[in-house]
Parts: sequence; C-alpha cells; structure tokens
Amino acid sequence: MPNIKLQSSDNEVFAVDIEIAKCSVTIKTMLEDLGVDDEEEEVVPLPNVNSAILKKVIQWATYHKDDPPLPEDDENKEKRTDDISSWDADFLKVDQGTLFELILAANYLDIKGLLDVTCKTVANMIKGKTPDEIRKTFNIKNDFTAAEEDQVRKENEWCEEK
Amino acid sequence: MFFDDEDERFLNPEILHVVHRELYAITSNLEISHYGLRNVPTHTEDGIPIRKLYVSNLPPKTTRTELFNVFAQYGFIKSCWLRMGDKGPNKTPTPTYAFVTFSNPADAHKALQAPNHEKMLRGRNLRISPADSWHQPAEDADGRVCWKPRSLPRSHDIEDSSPASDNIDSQGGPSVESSLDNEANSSNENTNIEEATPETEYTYNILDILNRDCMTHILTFIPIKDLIRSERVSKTWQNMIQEYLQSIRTFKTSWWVHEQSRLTTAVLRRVLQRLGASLLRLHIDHQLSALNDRTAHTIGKFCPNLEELKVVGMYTKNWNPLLYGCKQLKNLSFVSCNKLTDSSLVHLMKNDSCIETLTVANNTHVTGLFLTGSDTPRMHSLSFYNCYSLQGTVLCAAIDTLPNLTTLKLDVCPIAMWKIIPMILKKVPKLEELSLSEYTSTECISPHSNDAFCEALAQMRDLKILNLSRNIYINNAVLKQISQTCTKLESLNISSCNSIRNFSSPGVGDEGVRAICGACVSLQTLDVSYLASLTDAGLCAAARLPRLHRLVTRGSDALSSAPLAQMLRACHHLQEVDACGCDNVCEGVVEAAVDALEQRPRTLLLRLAGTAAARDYHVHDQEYPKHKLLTVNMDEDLSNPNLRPDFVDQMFDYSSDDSLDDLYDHDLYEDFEDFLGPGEWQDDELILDPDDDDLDGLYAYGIHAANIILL
Repeated sequence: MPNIKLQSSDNEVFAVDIEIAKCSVTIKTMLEDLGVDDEEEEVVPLPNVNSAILKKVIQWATYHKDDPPLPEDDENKEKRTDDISSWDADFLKVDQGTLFELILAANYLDIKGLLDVTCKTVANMIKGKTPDEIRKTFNIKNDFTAAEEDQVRKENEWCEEK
Repeated sequence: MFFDDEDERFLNPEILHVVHRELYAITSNLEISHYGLRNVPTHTEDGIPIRKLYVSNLPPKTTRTELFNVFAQYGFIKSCWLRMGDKGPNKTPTPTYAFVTFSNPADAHKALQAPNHEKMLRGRNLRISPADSWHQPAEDADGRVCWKPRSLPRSHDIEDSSPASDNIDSQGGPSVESSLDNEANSSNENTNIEEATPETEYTYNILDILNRDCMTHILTFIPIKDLIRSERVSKTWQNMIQEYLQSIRTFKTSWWVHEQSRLTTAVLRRVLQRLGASLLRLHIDHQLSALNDRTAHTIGKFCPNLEELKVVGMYTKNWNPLLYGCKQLKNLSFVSCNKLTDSSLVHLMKNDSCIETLTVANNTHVTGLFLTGSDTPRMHSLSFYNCYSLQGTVLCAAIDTLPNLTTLKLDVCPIAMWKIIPMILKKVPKLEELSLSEYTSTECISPHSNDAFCEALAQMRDLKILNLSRNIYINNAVLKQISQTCTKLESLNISSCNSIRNFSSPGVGDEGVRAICGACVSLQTLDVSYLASLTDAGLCAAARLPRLHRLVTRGSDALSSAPLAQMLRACHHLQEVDACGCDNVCEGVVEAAVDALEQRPRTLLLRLAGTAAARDYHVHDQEYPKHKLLTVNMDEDLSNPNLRPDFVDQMFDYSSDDSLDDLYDHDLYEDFEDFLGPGEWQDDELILDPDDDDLDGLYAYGIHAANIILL
C-alpha cells in the first residue's frame, strides 16, 4: 500500500496509507492538484493540526476507511444525534479541548464523517439542557444583567418546561 | 455606574487579567537589582512617562475610596477607576482590577517603588504594575498632558476648557470630586482597551475556540426549541443563536414528534416570530397538533418570504390570510385537511396569485370547482390524491384556465374520472409528468375502454414521467401507444397493472414491455413490479435501455436471475436493482454485478431480500463475491405481499381443509338455524348423503344441496 507523509504543526511526521489520507477532502484535492506520484515521497504539511490531534484523526480514519460514502446534507430532513456508533462514542470520550480541536481539524481537513460525529457529540451536550447547565458545561460567563436575563426568560417561558 | 453596558459586552475582564499578569511578570523580573532595591522603569518602552498603574489582586468589595486612601500617600491622583466583574443575578459586583492615574509620573514611580506592605488593602497585597503603553496619557511637545486617550483625536483647546482639566490644572489635593469628573475619561479608556486587545479573546472563551462554521454545524443538530431555550446563556450566545435561527430556510413541525408537548398556535407563533422572516419552506405536519384557525393569520403575518407551505391534518377552512402575508407562496399542499373546500381555495387561485404547484390529498369536499374562473398562468403542477368528490367534468372545464400545466396527477380518484381523463389530456398535450395510479374498479371496463385513452396519449410527445401503477385499464395496447409517442420518457411505473392472473382483461405482459424497451431509449427508471404475465423473455428487452439507472421488479415469481444479469452487463448506468420478493432470483445476480463493476466501475445497490439468493445467504450461509462499490441488501424486504400476482387471501382460502371444517362446524350450521328457524331441523338431517331419502326433506324447503354449501 502506498503511503503518504503528513506533517503536523509541531513538525511530527506521520506515514499514512494514501487511501486513508484521502478521506480528507482537503488532502485528496491537494494530491489531485499536485498530481503526486506514488514513487515520490512528499510530505504534506498540515499547519492547523497538532500531532496529538492528527494522531486521533488518523485513528478515526483508519477505523472508518471502509465506510460507504455519506449522503449529502439534506435540509429537508431532521438531523439526528442518537446515531453515534459505540466505537465513535468511545473514541470521543475525551476532554472538551480535544473535542473542539477535533472539530476544527475535521472542518479544516474536510472529513464530513468525523465533523458530523464530533458536532453531534457537542450537540448532545447542549440538547435538553437548561441555560445554567450549558454555561457550566462550556464555562461561559453570563453577561446578562439580572433584569435583561429576566426579560429573555420571560420571552422564552413557553419553551422552558420540557 | 462605572461603565455602560455597551462597553461591558466587549470588555472581558479575564482577558485583561491574562494580559496584565503577563505584563506584571515581566516587570517583576526587573524589580530586583543587585542592591535589593526595586529598579522600576519610569517610562514605557516607547518613551511615554508612566502615570497610570494597573492594580490587581483586589480584595472583594473594594471601593474607590479605599483605593484612594492607599495611593493618595504617594501624590495627587488624577483618576481612579475600578473594573467591576461578574454582575450576574444574585451576585454582588466584585472589582477585578483597577487603574490608578497620577498627575505626576514621579508620584507614580514612587508608588511602584514603595514597599509592598504599604500597598495592602484589607490584608491583601495589591499587585501593581505600570499600565500598558497605550493606556498612558500622552504628552505633547510642550509637556502638556493629553488626559484623554490618544486614539481619540481631540483638540487641546476643548481639552483645556473642559471642567475636568481645569480641576486637574489647579493641582488641588486629592478630592473625590475630581475623580468623579474623570469617570467619563475612564470609560473612554475602555474603548481604547477594546481596540487594542481583540485578538486575545479567542484564547479565552471555550466556545470561541470554534469558528462560526463549526458552531453552526453543531447547532444544526439541535432542535429549535432547545436553541431558543438556550438563548439565556449569554449575550454572545444569544446573538449566535439568533443569527443561526435566521439562516434556517426549512422548518417542519414534525421534527418535534419526539417531544410530548402538543403544538399550539401560540407556540408556533413564537417560533415563526424568530424564524419566519427568512423561512422559505414550512411544513405543518405535527401529529399532535392543537392548532386553531388563527394559524393561517400567524403564518401570513410572520412569513413574508414563504415559498412552500404544506399542511397536514388541520381543520382550518379559511386560508385566505395567507394571501395578505405570503406574497411569494409558490407551492401549496393540503394533506388530510378535511374542512378544506373549494371556497377555501378559490381566493388563493385568483388572478395575481404566484401559486405554481397545488396538491390536495385525502379530501372529501374539493370538487375542482375552485379552478373554474381562476386565472393562474404560473400554475404548472396540479395534483389530487384520494379526493373523493373530485368531478371530472368540472375539472375538464377548468383545465382551460391552466395553459402552462406540465404536471398533472389524478391518483386514487373516483372511477367516473376515467372516462373524462382522455378529454382532460387532450387539453394539456404539453404535459411532462402524468400520474394516474390506483384505478382498480372494473366499473368502466369494456373492450374499447382504452381507445380514447390511447388516442389522447398519441399527442403527448413531451411526457417524461409516467406513473400508471395499479391501474387495471392499462394493457399491452396502451404500452404500445406509449412506445410510439412518448419517446422522451425518462421514468415509467407500470407496477401492479392488472396483476390478477385470472382477470378477464389481458393486462400488461411481455409484449408491451418489449415495445416500451425498444422505443423509449431515454428511460432511466423502470418499475415493472407485481406483473403476473411478465416473464424473463419480456424483461430481457430492458437490457436495450442504455440510460437505465434504476430497475424495480418486486414480488414476481416468474422472473429468474438471467434477465437481471443480462441488464447489469449491458446497462452501464444501472445503479440500483430492486428485486425484493422475486423468489427465483438467485446468486447469479450478485456474480453478474461484480463482473459488471469490474468492467464499468460505479456504485451499485442490489436489493435482494426475499429472494432465493437471500435464503441461501441466511439459511445456508452462502458466501457471495464482493466488490467495494457494491452494496447488497438481503434483509429489508420492500415488496408488498398483498400486491403479488400469486397472492391468495387466507381469509377466503377454501382449499384448506381447516377452514372448510370451521365453516361447517359453526357458521353454516348456525346460519341454517337462523334462516330456517330452530327446531325444524334435526341434527341427522344435516348429513347430506345422496343415497339418503331424507334429502327429499330438503327439496321440500326449495333448497338444493349445492345451494346450501353456497349459502
């Protein structure tokens, strides 16, 4: 299997099967545009991804390399968040910082499957939560004055009770 | 108030903490000289004298007066400004840091150099460092100080004449008054800070790590109700949510089915208040709806840009309010809206309406009269499904007002329609899509019942999509007519056309399918499911369709793998073959598919649930060749057993011994008693023995033995 070398922002180089690397649309287009030969071992620099995150991304892509292509986003369909596979759920048992960096990496590398599953994980942290819980989960400061907050609360009273 | 709310939103005290802590660390490195004395800079790096000090590690509830008392000992304080931290509900404001500005740089220097124990407040060591260069009041060439922030261009004349600067120039002792005057000054400094430190914000708030793209992607997975509820989190969050809500184009109320709450008009109103302005497509298809007649008003009021509206199961009769609000409305569907009548629709169809597509389904009132006299030149699609009262003659007259119709669907409509349909079709020869499914009543059937229909079809040269499923009037003659005229046909559905084997009319078979496949070379989708008289010989012809994309042949026991394999090899665009429930289709299809993919790679889906291939796979664990572009579905049987040509309803299956016994044992015998009255019959008389003379008794009642069984 031909390999490709990916270089993280902190200059660590990873040799990856070319088919696995191509699940990233960014890398795939890059390779197509450059017309890289199999013989030539070029290093693809990924300045936006550090080595810890890149390692995770490669781990994910290796596991999912045989997945069928995902259907296009259809805004006529309701988005589900309860269809995260158990492997992915285990894979994403990481701290928030890592999770967010994975989202950024998936977005930058254009890996739709990884982006979806990480975003779903974060969405599940928000879904069905009270504003207080959301604040605590994401360490967000409440910058409303008491009066302002009361007003928003009043406006949205109808959807407060579950 | 120390600052106004507008400033607060941008100014994050924590960021400044970070910045200044760094700065403090740098300055503290300079503090210790070889004499052990503090070596404190008097000017900033870019040469501005230090007058302003940054003070942190403040004890809670520090007041300005307290700070004054600490620093007044070093010289005249020009201003003292406290930054108040979190003011959330039920929290007392706490100062997080302060700026103390001395009139004289020497005094500021003194304050910096002073031993730490002098700079204590309620037992805490205050941390003091020079404020950043851009905070320091600038000096002009004459040595006059510009107390206002440098970024704001102000003339010295104004500066000098302002009462605040008068106060300063007088160089009086520290006074609360002077500091109060300088509050305006301080809030300007705030502005200055915002401009200087926006880039540090990203390092702090954890959700700001994610860019807007990623955040939006996350929000798409969250139900709208949860999003609205979460608005209270913070101001930035609220902005983000509102911006996102306004980017939503499609909203279906059925997306809330997971929630227990009923959808009321009041709730819908609140949602549309937020989403409405940008909404293009609205489907009100919530199951537990408790919507009232005001709903139409609400939609009209809040959704000015709506293009598509689908309403399911609502009892509103008056939909006219839509007219005043939704000027862009193009696609309108009413499904299972039982109070909907012609009068509900007549105004929506008036002259200047934008309506392009109208669908009415499962309705018992609409006759089609609303179209008479309407003037809707833009209307290009009209669909009725299961409309019990629809009247063919009315529709036929009204169709004149729809000159641009390209799609017509008259599915599951009263059977009397069938006689009128040829007349309607003659008026719309430009149709591109026609659907006439589910005409199953034999009422109109006669040897020539299709002649008029064939004649009408003869004009329809533009037809691209034709759906004739479950229509018993379709036979080989109709298919031949289609093959002669509709050469542009891209999609054809003739499933279940006359599938009952012993039905009098000959129905659709090999001959018709062969004619279609020979002529309609543009066909991409072909559905020939549940056809009793379609065999391998007929289906083989489909291999001549070069553009065939999808083939459906569900529930047919007459078909084998051979024609499917032939098609897979010949039709290079074929991407889906659905042979669910075709008992005799075996593994040959999978092998042919792999072969075909080797030669012409494309993605291919085989649906083989309910076939011999699936049985071998499940029961005998047979292995099949694989290809990475090939998906084989062996589990999900999409075929409907009731539509199969060999379907026998068990309820009327007399051939089974059990059911016959049941009939004799209970029903028939009791029926006899009811019919002939009790007591007149003895049990032994029921034994129908042809040699028994008792049979004469039966004849006496005028009943033949054969008739009894029929009863």
